Amino acid sequence: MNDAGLYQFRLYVVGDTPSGQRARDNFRKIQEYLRPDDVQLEVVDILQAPERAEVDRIIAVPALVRVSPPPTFKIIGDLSDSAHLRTFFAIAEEGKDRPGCAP
Amino acid sequence: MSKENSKIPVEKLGTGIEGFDLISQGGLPKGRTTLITGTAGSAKTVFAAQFLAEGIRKSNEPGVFVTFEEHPAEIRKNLLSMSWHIQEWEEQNLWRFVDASPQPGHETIESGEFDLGALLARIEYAVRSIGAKRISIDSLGAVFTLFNNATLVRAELRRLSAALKGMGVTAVMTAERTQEFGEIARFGVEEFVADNVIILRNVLEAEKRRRTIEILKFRGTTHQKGEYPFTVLPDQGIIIIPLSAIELKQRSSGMRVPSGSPEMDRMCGGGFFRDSLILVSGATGCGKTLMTAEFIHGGAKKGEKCLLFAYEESREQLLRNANGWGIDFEALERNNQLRVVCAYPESAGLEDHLISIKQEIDSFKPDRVAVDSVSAMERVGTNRGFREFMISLASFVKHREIPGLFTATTATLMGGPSVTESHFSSITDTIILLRYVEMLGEMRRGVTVLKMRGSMHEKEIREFTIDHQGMHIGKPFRNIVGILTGKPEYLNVESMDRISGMFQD
Repeated sequence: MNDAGLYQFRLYVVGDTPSGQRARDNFRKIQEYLRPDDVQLEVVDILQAPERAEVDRIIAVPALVRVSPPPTFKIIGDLSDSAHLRTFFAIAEEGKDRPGCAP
Repeated sequence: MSKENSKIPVEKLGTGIEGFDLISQGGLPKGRTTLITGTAGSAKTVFAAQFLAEGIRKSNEPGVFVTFEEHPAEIRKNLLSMSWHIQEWEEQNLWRFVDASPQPGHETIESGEFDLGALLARIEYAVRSIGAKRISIDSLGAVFTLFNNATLVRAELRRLSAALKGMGVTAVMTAERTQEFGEIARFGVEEFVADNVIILRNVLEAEKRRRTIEILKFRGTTHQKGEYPFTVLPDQGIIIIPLSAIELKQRSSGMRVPSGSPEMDRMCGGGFFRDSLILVSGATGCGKTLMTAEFIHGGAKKGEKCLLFAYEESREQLLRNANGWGIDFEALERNNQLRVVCAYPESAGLEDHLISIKQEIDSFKPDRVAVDSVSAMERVGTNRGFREFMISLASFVKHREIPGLFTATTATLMGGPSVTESHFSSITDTIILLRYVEMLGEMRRGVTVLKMRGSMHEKEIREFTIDHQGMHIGKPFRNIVGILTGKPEYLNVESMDRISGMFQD
């Protein structure tokens, strides 16, 4: 566990699917905007741990949940629609002071 | 061989919902999905939940409830009013929620392609973990509101439907309609899940709400057609009144029971049949309640238990009147030989009255039943609703193989038909008419047995009088015609002779 992570994300997938893989790839690209050290990503395979999806009430996959900082956000889809994502992360950045985060 | 196979009927799963298994001829098609559609407030969620609850209570079959609308905590709380203790069932692994309800304050953004694989995985996990046999999904319309892409949702729901088949569970899905009559459901959901469709209606008709259930289609198997009224009661949930699905298979016996009046017994050729329905029709005040009291008294003298439903008079009035005829209802009640149930017809809907009558009969287990008067119920429902009420009431009493005496008030003082008679006469075994007869400036009373199935009976119209000892049936009116049409006419002796001469050989 890396306590230094300012941004904690959880990515829900069902097995090994192309859309799940795309979501991971796209997330990595986003990660480059933020400082990689500040981001923590946990990938949850619902087939392996179905009860975890219950907690976040996940019905669509892939689903990315921002666990912290609050408030909790959910993005569903393979993260390919960058216009939406920019809005999302703009909000994310307001949630906490950013020590020198490059735009 | 394959031809033989195709003849194997679709197996059905008894739901345990009262009346439903009768109209569906055995329950829901087993291992398949049935769509329940209805407008807002048509009891879809209750049906979906009851399907699981009855499975648990009656056959110990675990069930999964997938909710897209209400939060499980709300559902638990709401259904507690039906005495379904969902939390206990959850602890016993008999009930499991799959919570897909929206989280307030949690924004969801769509970005790129997705599917509902998570939902499927969670449902499969829930079904597997408790060995569920039944599943309810409430509601499909809500799934569409969660996502922007309706085409995708439709494709995913089709996949879900196919997956449910693979799991071997019997499924119920609910969907909204915008109108009581019109398209089956919003978003055209029936197109992809609808091997079987059931419609719940909640129609406002003549200022009264009337709930009905209709099985629109069951692919590859049979069911009763048309709408059936139902009601939703606290502690019990949905109760369907199966009406025409009720089979006329009651046995018939030749055993007679006293009517309470020896003269009436004679007119009927030895008393009423034990398993018969007797309709007593007459204008207001001409002795129907008296006949009811005599009927009860006659049973009580034989040590029988009687149940009286009074819809026109209060309890006090009834006791006082009976006392006036020398019958002590209070003493009978103390001996547990009589139970008087007084109710104001407007106090409930027809369906609710019917169910409370059934429950009273089931709990008191009477040897005879009287209803005074059934025509008071005409006011409560629509014409059609009333007809259904009468048929259902009649068949229920007949199934108990006890005599039932129902009274009906005619609309006019001098007789004539009433709505009750026209709806009821063909299913009653005996009809007794009480009529006012105007004779030489005096109102007198006449009684006749109009019909009596399976027995000889008197054809005369006899005069009867009422005093402190009850009813006394006397001699026939010999020289009057037109009593039944309400226009009595005197005949002198000469014309009497002439008429009787006309019919001689």
